[in-house]
Amino acid sequence: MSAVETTHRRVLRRALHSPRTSAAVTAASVLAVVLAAGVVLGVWMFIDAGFADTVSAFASAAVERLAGAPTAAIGIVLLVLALVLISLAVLPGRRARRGRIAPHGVVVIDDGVLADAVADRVARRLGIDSSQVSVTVRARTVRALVTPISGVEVAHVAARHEIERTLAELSLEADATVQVAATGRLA
Amino acid sequence: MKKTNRTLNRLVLLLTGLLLAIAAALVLLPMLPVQFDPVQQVLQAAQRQWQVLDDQQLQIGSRQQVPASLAVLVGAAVVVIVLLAVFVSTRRSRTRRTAAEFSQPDGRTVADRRVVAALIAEPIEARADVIAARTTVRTWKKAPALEVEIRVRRGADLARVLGDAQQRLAEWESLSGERMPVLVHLADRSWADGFRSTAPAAR
Repeated sequence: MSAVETTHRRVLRRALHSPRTSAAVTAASVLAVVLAAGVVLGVWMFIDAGFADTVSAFASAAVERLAGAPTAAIGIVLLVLALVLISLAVLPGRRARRGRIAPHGVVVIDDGVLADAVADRVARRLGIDSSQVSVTVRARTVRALVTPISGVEVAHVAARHEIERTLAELSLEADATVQVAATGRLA
Repeated sequence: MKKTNRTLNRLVLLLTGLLLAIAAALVLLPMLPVQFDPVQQVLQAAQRQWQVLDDQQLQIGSRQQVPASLAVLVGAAVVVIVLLAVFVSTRRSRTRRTAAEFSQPDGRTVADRRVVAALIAEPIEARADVIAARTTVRTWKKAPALEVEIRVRRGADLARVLGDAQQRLAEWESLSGERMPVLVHLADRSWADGFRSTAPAAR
């Protein structure tokens, strides 16, 4: 494998997964502000004994007022935030897009773009409006839900072949399924 | 294709999450009807250690004495704040002005990023089935790397758009004389694109 091919594999992997930069910057900024506020408060309390007494009295009153349910609520909020951040750190963060390595670089297609293209192709093939075709793109499957015209049979196989043809033209791999809605629409 | 250290991003999220989890435990554990002995022992040991630090005094300057606990806390907090500031400042995505450099015996020729835009993005954007196309030159391992973002209209033939993009990239490779990392991204339409009219799909 050449150096460029190796690079393209890395580029593809990075393009398909979230970098978590926004979340990390937000968490780091909030933490820095909280720590800075704590440092300023601590140093000020040490320097000014009067201020230290005021803060202590305020803290005692707050602890008394928040005893019981409000403290539990704060604890639960902290716990939920902690779980969210740890999940962001640990989970792969796969993005709603798929890609492949092409002759000249890496190609990445958002799932929404692919879903629109598949819906249009299936609708054209079945001779119905594209609003009657709803496409869901998942990691390994592309599923089309067709709302038929009442009394008109839906050509399942043709629809599935159209999905497979669309994917093949883009050199993407996924299982194609077609589902027909239980209730149709009047012509 | 941005040059951000993803591992560091996740490490910051993990450490912040763990800090919040410890804070949540400190708030919620005393409220539990059942107290966990090992946790209580750890908390009591930490409290005793803290008391020892609090009782010690550090000399700052010629006259001022500061509790060791305060000095340790402030010192640690300042170090963490500096590290966090450095982390945040390095998260910016930097783009390059230069897309390629050609060294010749009689000099050096530099291709600006606008050359890439004129060769690749503008012809693609001129297509009836494309709403917008944009090229960005980034840095990948100290060398230029190209990102081409294309937003297509509803009904566009994706294979044709990609084929066109691949052809433009082949021309650029031929002109620049080198293969560089390239990412072609067919992106979802943004909310603002909903205000643009829909053109019939290109045939």
